Amino acid sequence: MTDLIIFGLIVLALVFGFVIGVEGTTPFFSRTEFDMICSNFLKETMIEKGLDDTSKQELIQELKNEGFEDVKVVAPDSLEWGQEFEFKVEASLKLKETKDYSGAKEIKTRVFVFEENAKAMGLEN
Amino acid sequence: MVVVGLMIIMVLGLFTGITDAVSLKVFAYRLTEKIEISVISAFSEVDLEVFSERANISNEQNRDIYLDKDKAKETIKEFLKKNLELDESFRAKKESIIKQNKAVIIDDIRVYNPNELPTVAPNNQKVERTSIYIHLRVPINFKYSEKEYQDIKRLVDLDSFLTSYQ
Repeated sequence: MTDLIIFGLIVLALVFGFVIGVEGTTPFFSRTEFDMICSNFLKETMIEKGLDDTSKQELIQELKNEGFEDVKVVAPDSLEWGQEFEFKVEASLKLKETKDYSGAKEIKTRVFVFEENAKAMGLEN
Repeated sequence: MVVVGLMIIMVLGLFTGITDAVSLKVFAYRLTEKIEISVISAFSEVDLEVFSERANISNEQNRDIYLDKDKAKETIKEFLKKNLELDESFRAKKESIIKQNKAVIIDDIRVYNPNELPTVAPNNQKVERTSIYIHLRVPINFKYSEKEYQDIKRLVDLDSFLTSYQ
């Protein structure tokens, strides 16, 4: 009986630890996904000397496909070579997180911001 | 029961450690990305005098870009301050992704122009095109890492950046 209780406590600890691990790391994986998508479109803005409406919609859609909402994009649609610009993307993500030791969940909204200053570097016309 | 308690603490510690490790990886990725963008922006500092004499910018295979080294270094520092949210002494502002109050240390910035090539950068990478090598040390403080600084060494060239975009 004692062995069973000990075994049960160990399993409980493993499950609880796993939940903490997954919930603890999910925002970081989401952050990386967010950064990679935004970074790609930042590069496009630098190389194509601007981000047109079609590309802005593509960026918004790609983020929505990953679960992000309320996506706002600030990027110039036309730049000269060597011109400095600001590129900013803001989006929110709803995450389920454990509220307390009872295992009850609550929905938390996290806001992600990707903001960079760069210069247009595309060499083709 | 003491053994069980200790095991529970170890398991929780293990998963917290994993979270910390992932957090450090994500931080390093964001940091590297911001540094690369800052360095790439320096490629706008073309040495116009040499450009007018020698540059073959329209030929993709032999695109020689000569950079004004001093201006390129200043541009990198300016963009690092903007993108990493640093003050004039390279300490992180409140909004920065760097959460330590120590200054970012710029150990080395080297600009390689075509007349210096081929050569090898301090990180042992071959340099065959106009490139910029940067070595930074960024202050960090992660629970399960004893490191006080994250070392960032990158060799950046414009052509690789342009072709990496898909």
